[in-house]
Amino acid sequence: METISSLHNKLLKGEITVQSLVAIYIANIEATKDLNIFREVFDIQEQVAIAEKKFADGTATVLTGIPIAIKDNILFDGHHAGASSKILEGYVASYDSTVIAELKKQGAIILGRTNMDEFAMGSSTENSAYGVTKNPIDPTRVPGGSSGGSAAAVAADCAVISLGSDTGGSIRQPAAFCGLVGLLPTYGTVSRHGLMAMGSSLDVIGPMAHSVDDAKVLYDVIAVYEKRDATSVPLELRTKHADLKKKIAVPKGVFSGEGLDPEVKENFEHIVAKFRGEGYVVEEVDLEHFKDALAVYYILMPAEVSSNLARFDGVRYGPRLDKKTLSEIYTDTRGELFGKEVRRRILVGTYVLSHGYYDAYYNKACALRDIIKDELRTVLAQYDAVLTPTTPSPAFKIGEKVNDPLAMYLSDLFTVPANIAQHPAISIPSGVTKSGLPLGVQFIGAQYAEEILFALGKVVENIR
Amino acid sequence: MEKKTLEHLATLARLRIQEDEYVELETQIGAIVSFVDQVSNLSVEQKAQSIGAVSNVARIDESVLYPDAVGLVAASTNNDGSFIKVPKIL
Repeated sequence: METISSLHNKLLKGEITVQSLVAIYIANIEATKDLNIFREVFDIQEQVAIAEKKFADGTATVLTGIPIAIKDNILFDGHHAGASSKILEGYVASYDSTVIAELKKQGAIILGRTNMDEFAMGSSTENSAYGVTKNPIDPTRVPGGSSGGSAAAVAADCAVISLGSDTGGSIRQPAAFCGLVGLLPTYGTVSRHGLMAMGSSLDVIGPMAHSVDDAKVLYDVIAVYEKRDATSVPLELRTKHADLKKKIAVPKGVFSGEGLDPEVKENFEHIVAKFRGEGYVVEEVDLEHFKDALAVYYILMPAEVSSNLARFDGVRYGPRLDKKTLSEIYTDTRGELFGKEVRRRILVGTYVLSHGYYDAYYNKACALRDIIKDELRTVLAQYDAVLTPTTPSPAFKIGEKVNDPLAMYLSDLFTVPANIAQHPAISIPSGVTKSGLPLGVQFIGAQYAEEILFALGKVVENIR
Repeated sequence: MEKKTLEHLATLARLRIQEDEYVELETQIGAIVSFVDQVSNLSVEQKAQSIGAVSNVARIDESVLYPDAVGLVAASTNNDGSFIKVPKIL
């Protein structure tokens, strides 16, 4: 697999052109149409001309001319964006998200928008209103979700890299299922400006790539301060962490393998042994409330969902059902055009925020969130990262969990704590099962410790 | 979860739920609420809620013309170019 750096050198030397590079990826997209990876491939001739000009006048950067896929919930001015939902059918973005503006500055080629679980709610892309995306490694299985299309695009070589968004694991879980690197950056380092909101205190845009180096290239470009985003963290507040302590923590209970697929457990133990062989101290730590993060997540996230998705009312965006009263427009448009999972989460969110339940659920979850943050902060003051498998199992079969939402939620067990604590985390391919399905391990770092995560990820790339 | 509760939630959330969906929703939402109920049973110390890395981010209150107001209105399927059309409410 060619890295961004290698492609950039070839473009610089004139061994390939942007046009010829893009043509390879467009051909791959055509050849893999059956996998239902893209919602739309954009007309890219203008972008190609801009990139070619940058090489001609010497202003090209490492991302110039590099084909990138974006998730369908990221706004690209003048282009359709729909979060794979019927309620946004026909919606055209009227401005660029911050990440797209940064990619445009670099002259990257934004090839198209990828399929996803509707409004990023799901772990398999089966909740897309436009059909499931198939895993390129085994098309009978899901690619993970919600950024399943963005993962499949890179895994099937339909793009060099891609952007996903991660609210509870939606970059890392599909990255693990498709054999890729997926980074959840620290909350606030990559702006949410122009990202369709799901859980505003949890959502982060991040890169998916074949290698740690490629993920880092994309992260470095998009991790800018955005004054239009009140949650964007100014650069001077992002504490640097550069030195490795060579100490890794594993939450108690992970080694016992309860609820883990046996091959996931075996692979995890293999990676731990390899790290010890490299001179790292890997030891169990007591993160008492780590396991509670999933329940906290499934209170806070639906609460934020029920609020954020109130804006989709059939009036301001997308289609509107023809009804006599405004009230009927709201209820019928939302009832008919939101999918099942979205409606479920809106109802759960409305429940936990409703009178009489707010204290028992929402306030209690907020208090636990603070405890989980404190626990992680304490551990990460002494260790480089917390290590877990990314997912309890490899990619599951299409249809296997679609009628059991709770079983689907449990696949987020290891990924949600980082979102709850607003810490960065990275999933790194760590091997394959006997049947060839990819597996991943996850490192959760201290806030703004992305460089540490990249360093640990490169260790895994060398020892797996 | 009881149908009556779901109907109330659907009203609050402005969601039309079809009659035949309630049976499945009662089971599924009931299971989700039972799962998250473990949180309400935990004894945790309620501290002042933490704030993020940035807080009280304010901007100067000044009027700036949005560069693509036409694009914003056009995002609605029912408009006359300047206004979004909705049925009379009175």
